Amino acid sequence: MKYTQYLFILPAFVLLSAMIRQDHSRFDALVNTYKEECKKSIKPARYESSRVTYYALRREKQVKSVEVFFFTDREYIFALNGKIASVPVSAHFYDLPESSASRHLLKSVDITGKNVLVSSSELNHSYREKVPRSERLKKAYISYEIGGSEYAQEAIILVLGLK
Amino acid sequence: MTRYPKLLLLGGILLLQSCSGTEKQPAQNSRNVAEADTSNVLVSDDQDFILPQPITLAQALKSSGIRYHEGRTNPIAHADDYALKSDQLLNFGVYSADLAYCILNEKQQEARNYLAAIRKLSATIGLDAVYSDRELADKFEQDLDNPQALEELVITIQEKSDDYLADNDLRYLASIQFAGAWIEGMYLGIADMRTKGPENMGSALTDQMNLLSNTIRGVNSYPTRDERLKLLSGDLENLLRTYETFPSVKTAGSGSDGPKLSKEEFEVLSDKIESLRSKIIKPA
Repeated sequence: MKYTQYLFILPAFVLLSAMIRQDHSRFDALVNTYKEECKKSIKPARYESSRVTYYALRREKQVKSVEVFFFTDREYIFALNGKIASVPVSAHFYDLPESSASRHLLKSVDITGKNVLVSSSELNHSYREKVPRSERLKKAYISYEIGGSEYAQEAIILVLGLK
Repeated sequence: MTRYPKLLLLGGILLLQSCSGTEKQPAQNSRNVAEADTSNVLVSDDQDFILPQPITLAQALKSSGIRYHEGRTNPIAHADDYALKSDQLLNFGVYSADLAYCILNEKQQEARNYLAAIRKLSATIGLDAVYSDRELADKFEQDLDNPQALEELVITIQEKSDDYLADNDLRYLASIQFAGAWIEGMYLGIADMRTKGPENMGSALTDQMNLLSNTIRGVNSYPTRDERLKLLSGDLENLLRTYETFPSVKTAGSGSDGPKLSKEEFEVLSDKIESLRSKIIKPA
């Protein structure tokens, strides 16, 4: 009787293991598909860099941020892809980090289920309105606000292009 | 009843095995297979950052008027002497900056040599999947007289490398390479700034200093830092502390316009960067 139970339980675990592995592969493939979509959407800008922000959904909202540098005065294009997100996800661009009391919100976009493009010239325009007599924006801080829900593994994809 | 703990243990082992299924297995001492990260999978840091490509750093320096200086780059003969993985990663970055510097200054023969050195090191750090492509070398030869095409080729290679590192959970390798590229870029820039005088250098140097804290974070994210990387991290932190205590930097604060370094501050910073660079290009 004891051995019979092992015979049933062992295959169940093996099956579960294979299912989880398959889920991870599917998720990775999805991330790569949307990354490619981002890369296409930034053209004719050339690829500069990318960042996939992975998160595990939880009941309450969460915020994750990415800091981006603008080294030249050429135009940078951001492709933000929230097509994997099952909850509302928005991206907010700031001139300074969260720790700074004097930071300015430059732009907000809803990226839930979408691939959205934002340019550094839009951000600079907003920056110069809010911080007169400033040179140009040399860094931007993107805060992703991710809605709460039951646990799930998701990701936001960012591809940065340079014109 | 007593057999359930055994079953739970067995189940736990299988589940753990399944959860690590998408990660590549570590191969830390291998010369041909890159290491795997088992710590940064599927949940990103709350505060992340993107570092620029070496060619973007070089473009920024060039557009601020930095000129080419013969003999400043790291000799390619050193490539054979880097035996430690940390040295190989750092100098892969150093050579990437040198390659970009040569391409942007239309030094095609030197660029060809640096690509060869990079390809050699790529095989030792597990990036040969990206750099061993024969087509890549052929394309480089074809485009040798076309700096614009070479620039695009380097960007394409960098994109492939980024994708490879991201797909294999190896982003921290790119952080070490970046540290090497950043130090080399600063070193190359300083050579020209010294001749022009810091008052004429604009914000080229201080813009690049903005990257230092994230460069340190990147170096510290490497899971198996050896003594060499620990020393590098300490030196970079020391450089950042020195920079942050400069009166011009304190006065400028966190505004985006950046500080205007005095001649004395520039000399202190330059000496530290030159010393740091000579340490990293010297094989352990």
